[in-house]
Amino acid sequence: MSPFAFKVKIYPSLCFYIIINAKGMKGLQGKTPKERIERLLVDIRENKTGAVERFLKEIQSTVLAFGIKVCGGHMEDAKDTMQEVLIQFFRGARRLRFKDPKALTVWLYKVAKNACLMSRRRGKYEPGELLSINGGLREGDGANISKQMDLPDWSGVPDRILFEKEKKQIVQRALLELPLDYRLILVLRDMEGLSTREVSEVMGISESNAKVKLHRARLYLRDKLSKHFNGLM
Amino acid sequence: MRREERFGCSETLNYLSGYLDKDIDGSLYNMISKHIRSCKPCRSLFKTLKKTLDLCRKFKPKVEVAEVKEEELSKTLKRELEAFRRFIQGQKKC
Ligand SMILES: [Zn+2]
Repeated sequence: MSPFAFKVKIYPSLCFYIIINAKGMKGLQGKTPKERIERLLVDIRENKTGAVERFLKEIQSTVLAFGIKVCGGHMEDAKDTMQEVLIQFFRGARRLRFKDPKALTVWLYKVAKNACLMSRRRGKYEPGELLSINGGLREGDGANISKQMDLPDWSGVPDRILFEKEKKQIVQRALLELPLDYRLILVLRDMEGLSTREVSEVMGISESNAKVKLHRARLYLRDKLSKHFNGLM
Repeated sequence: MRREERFGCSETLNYLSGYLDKDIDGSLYNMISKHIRSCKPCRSLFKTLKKTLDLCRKFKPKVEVAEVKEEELSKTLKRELEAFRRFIQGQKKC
C-alpha cells in the first residue's frame, strides 16, 4: 500500500466535476478554489468542528485539479506529489509564520506550482515562450481590427452547448497549448481566482508583467476557442 | 481630447483585459465602452473574450478524492497537519 493512502484517482480530462463530500461544504458553492481554501482556513482557525477534515479534502482536490489544469492530467506519481505538496505547505507555513489565510493560499499555490513543474515531464512539444499581443489575431489586426469585419461573435452560443463535456475538453486542450508561464498565470487568475497581485507573488514577477502576460494568454485562449466555437453559431 | 481622437481598435485591444477586470481608470473605461458600442469587430472580440473567461471560471477537471480516513494518513502528514492546526490556532506547543 502506498504510504500516502488517500486513494486518489485522476481522470485525465474525460469528466469534469469535482466530487466532494457535500457535508460541511455548504456556503462554498460558487466560490473560487482560492476562496474555498481561505474560508476553510478561517474555519480551522476558529476551531470549527470537522474543519481540519474538510480542509484536507478541499486542499487535495484543489491541488490535484490545479495539477491537471497546468500539466494536463499527465502527472506522474500524483499521490507522491500530493503528499510532498501538503507536507511542504504545512512545514513552510510554520517556518515562514504564515497565519493569514491570504498569505497561506499564495504559499499553497507556490508550493503546488513548484511541485507541478518538478514532476512534469517535458513534453516533446513545448510551445514557444513568447506570445504576441494579438493573441492569435491575424497579423496586423491589432493595429487595424476594424478592417477585419468577419471577427465572429460566438458569445451568443447557448451555455448548455458551450459547457458540454466535449467542449470542456476543448478548453483543456487549448489551455495546454499555451506556453507554461502564460498557462500558469491564466489558471491562477481566471480559474483559481487569485488577484493579479497574488498571481505576481506566486510567479515571482512584477504585477505589471503578470497583467501583460495574462492579457496575452487570454487573447490566445480566446483565439483557440474561436476556432472550435465559430462553427457552432 | 487628442487621446480620444486617437482612440481606436488597437487601444481597445490593448486594454481589454483591464476593461474586463475593471482595472483601468474611469476615462479609459468610458472610451472603451464607447468604442465597443460603435465598432462591431471590437464588440465581438469583447464578448467572446468575456465568454472565454466565463468558461475558464467554470472549468473544473474531475478529481475524485475518496473519503480520508484518519488511519490512512501517513504519520508524517498527520504530524504536520496537527502542528499546522495548532500553529494557526495560536497554540504554543506542537
Ligand atoms: Zn474597434
